[in-house]
Amino acid sequence: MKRILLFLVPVLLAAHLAFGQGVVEGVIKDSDGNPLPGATVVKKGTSAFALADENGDFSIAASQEFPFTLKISLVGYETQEVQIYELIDEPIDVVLRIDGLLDEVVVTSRRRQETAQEVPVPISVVSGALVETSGAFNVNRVKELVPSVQLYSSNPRNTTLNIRGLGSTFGLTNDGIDPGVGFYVDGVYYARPAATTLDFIDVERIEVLRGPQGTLFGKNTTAGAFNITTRPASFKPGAVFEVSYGNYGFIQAKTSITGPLVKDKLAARISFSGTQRDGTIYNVRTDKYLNDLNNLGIRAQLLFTPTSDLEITLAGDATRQRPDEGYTQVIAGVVQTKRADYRQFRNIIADLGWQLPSENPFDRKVDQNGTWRSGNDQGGVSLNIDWAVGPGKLTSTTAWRYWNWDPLNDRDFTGLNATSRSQATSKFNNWSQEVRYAGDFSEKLSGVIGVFGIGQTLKTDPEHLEEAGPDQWRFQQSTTNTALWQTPGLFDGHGSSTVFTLESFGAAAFANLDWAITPKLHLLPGVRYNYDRKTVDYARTAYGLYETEDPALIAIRTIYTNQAFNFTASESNVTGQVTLAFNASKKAHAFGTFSTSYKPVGVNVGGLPTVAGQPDLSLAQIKPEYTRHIEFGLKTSPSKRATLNIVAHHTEVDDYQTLVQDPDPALLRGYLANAEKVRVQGVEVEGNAKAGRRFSFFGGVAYTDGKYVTFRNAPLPLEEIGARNEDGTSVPFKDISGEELPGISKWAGNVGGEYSAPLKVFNSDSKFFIALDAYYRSEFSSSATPSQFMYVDSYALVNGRLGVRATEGLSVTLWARNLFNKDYFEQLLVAGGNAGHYAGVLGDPRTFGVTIRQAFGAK
Amino acid sequence: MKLKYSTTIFLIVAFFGGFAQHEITASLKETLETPDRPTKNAQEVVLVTGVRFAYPLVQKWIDDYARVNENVQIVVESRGVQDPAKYDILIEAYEPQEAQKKNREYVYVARYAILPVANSQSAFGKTYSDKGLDKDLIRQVYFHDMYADKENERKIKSPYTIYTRLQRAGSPIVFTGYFGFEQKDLKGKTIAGSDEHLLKAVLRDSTAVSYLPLSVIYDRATKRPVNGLVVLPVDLNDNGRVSDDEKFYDNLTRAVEKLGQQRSKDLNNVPLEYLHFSVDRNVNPAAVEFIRWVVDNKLGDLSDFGFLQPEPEKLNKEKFEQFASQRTP
Repeated sequence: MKRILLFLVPVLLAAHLAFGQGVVEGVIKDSDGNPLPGATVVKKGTSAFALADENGDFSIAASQEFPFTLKISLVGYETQEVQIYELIDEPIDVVLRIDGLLDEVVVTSRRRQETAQEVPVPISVVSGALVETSGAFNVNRVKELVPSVQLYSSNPRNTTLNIRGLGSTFGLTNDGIDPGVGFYVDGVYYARPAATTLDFIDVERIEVLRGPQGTLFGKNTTAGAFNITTRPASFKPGAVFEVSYGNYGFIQAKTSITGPLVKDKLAARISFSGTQRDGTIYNVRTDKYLNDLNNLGIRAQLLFTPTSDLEITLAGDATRQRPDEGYTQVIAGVVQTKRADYRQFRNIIADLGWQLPSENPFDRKVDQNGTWRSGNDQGGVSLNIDWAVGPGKLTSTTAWRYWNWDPLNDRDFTGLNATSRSQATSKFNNWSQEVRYAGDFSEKLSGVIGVFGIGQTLKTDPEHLEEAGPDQWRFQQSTTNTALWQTPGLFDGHGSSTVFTLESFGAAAFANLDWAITPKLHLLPGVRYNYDRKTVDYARTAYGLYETEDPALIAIRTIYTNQAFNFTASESNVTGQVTLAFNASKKAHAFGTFSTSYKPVGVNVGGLPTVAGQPDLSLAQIKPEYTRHIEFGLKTSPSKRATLNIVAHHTEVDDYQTLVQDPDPALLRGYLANAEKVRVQGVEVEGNAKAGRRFSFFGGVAYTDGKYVTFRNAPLPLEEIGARNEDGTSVPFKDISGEELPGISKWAGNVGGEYSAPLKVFNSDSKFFIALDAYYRSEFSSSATPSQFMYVDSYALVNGRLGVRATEGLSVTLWARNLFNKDYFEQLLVAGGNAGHYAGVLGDPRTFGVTIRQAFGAK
Repeated sequence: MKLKYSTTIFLIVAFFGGFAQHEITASLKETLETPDRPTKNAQEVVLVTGVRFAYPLVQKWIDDYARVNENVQIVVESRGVQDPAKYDILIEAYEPQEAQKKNREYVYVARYAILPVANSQSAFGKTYSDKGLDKDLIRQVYFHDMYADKENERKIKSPYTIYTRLQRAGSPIVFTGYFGFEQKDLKGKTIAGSDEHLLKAVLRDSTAVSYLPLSVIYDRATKRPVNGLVVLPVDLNDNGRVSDDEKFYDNLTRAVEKLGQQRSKDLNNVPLEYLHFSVDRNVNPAAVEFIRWVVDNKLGDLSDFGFLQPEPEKLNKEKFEQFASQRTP
């Protein structure tokens, strides 16, 4: 009994102390009265701390002795100290002010809240506010704010999102490969590049991570990642209504409404976005303006917080793009090929009695007899569970997404009926599941560890069709016996029907740790295990073959052949990275990284080239891509008013997956192949600064040098089509080792500035602002094999805006994009058949308008 | 088996013991804070609460009243979030709100001034106890002002740290409101505590700058600012500079005299506000009698405690007298 008493007395005393000790309770808000969840409350001089919950409330045990100090902080806000001299029986109100100097940018790409300047990853952040005021409502427009990003889109399927020139194939794309730039929205992986053409809905922040990030994200990302965070549902009611009007009939309306459904337990947000704009390219044949926009999107979220440690978000979204005739391309130029004169494009169209509507593509005129259709539907549902367990957070993200693609193209780009049909309708869906644990495991160790799985099904819907028209004969003609080629009905109605199913499965385990060897020196190892499997069942059936017994016609009548293959390919491997980071001071952070990465096998589902009349089945599957990457970076804050970061990078890719444009008209979209080795290296500089309280500036410069180290069997450039060896045999390939990669400007940069001043509007706090930003990129090759003609000239775009903005209340912005109405191409594409003409994706002309925004309560 | 029961019982005792200890501690604390708890023999008890910087003055009045009226025990209690109806008299440091004016009777008993202060060891204190502060400098030093013309702000070489109170209370509300701001606009470190605690915080930090009412600034025994504290003179006539005749804060009597001889509206850059007593219309007549006694007899004590005489037209004495005559025999 005595022993028990000896044990119990301390227990009794401890209980007394515990109950005798008071508690400091409080609520943390910003200066507008909005709660600041996640703010940290540290009892100075001790290890005791507390975090503010979603309502900004916190509770922390008081010290035995008074006074004691609570240090309250949240990145992006000025730290506040509260000295507690006595306990009071009501919660204390703490107001944190936004740092009046240069706001610290908070990022979550490493799966925890951090300051961008302190993360040893090259990362560019575009805030939702900048997205809204600059009219950058999709990725294509955001690229002007991040010079290292390239986006090429001739339509949603044929969209390439690259970082530092790497990621996906340049030009047209093929559904059979994986993107190298991961596109994540609220932790959900969007598998198809068409997602990057969607309008943003309720974007809070876009983080662009440059370089391989395979050990941070579920899906492998060999070139970088877009990590987009949208505004969550809020327990504080709020609504934002926004409408924009501009020239070319531009109307954009956005709405977002949020609020509680069950107090402190269940909140919801629903958001809509609709965009429409008239066409900017005139079709002289149909008297219609093409290239219009017509987008509608909805996003809904439910946030359930059964306890303070558990957050469950159920989200769903659906977007529909239905332009009348969108994604139109113009004939940008005509090249003299090495073929005989009669096979030159100008002679072909002259014989067919057609002429270009204009020799200047920037007249924005086309003469096209086909219809452009690009029905693009995307959406999905996701369930995200965040559970605060131990020193970190356990996150599960479950998602299902779909993409329905309904295109129709005039692939000859003319008023002729050479290609009467080009229609590759597809249906896609995928599920994905990621589970990860991220947090500060100890004072010296933090990181993320997770597993990921994804299953994808892509199939034709129900078939892909290509069909020749009555004018095709003249494009096919390869001998001077015109009468033979002109045989009525020789090609008219001859086409192919392709049906395929591609099933992909990927699984990965990944970990990325941050070990603080000393407070200043950190070692960050990362490792990733990949397993990828692709099963394809592909069949292309030719139809409408001209029926004849004439051997001469039989020899020339075939454009499309039957092709069929099916196989399963799998691959597993381990990749990884190691980073050494040195935090010299709060103002300087240096890091060096070596990483390896991998992209799974590609499958040619756009048709195979034929060799001696037979499909080259060896190209049905192309090899995985392997990346080795090294970079050194220095992030500095020369003052509290400025940041300046510099990164040097060098990447080598073995078996680079590329798209080869073939003269064969049966391969309108080209086919996938491996280049033996490519290399991209460069330097990036970016910075932000504030001058006084009223002026702020940002800018960045990227120097990028991308080369094929080895690519011996590259396609011929357009002007060399028809080249022959000395012995008279045709030249099928070209060794372009040492030549430049497409889509990469050596120099790209942006600069912007804003002047703002406080203003009272209708008795509420507002800001007057005027802002200007400019984006420049030097010329770049727009052909897989460099061509002296297929270069997009350098161009500079200037955007401006001015207005009055308010956190709450009415904001009005007058804006103009491409202020000086610069004519430029976003991309050039060789027309199918390589007759000598090439098409261009025109950049938007000057657009201007007004945006009116009314915000209430929570954003 | 017995052993387990014992353990359980001990744990229950420990658990409830904790609560008990907590309650006892709170009770003891309350007792210690209110040494003049009513005695069993007292016939009338009047509870008073309100702004703490007035407690010494009010306690003096209570002590004096006890000598003339032994049948009433008047007790000052620290105010918490308890129902204010529990108290007979509320001492408030700012203008009563309209609802209060409608539902309660009140009388102004004193004016008080709030002045900028600094730790006397601070470079800032040394510089500006001589140079003084004009309106622009006060706004620049104390407040986050998004409308300020930052380019033309004055350069301040001396380091300083503003200290302010966290809770919404008389002195911060009056100080910030006077200069056109809200309490949330104050810069610096915040103190969860009273004006006396704010004073302690200023004395602990050799860069501290703050604001305090006169009654807290001065040591009543020496009539000089509390050791370690210096008052920062302000531009009283708002002519953009602080002249020598605007520096009179070394002595409480002189400071009260100088400030008190001018009407509130004629003084610039010194927040001046009234202290008032208020009672419910159905209050204990003994409370009303006490207030009437104070107003009639004790306003002469104000200057010794750092308060200024109320301006005659503001005193509201007649209206309260009318009410008092109805409530008291």
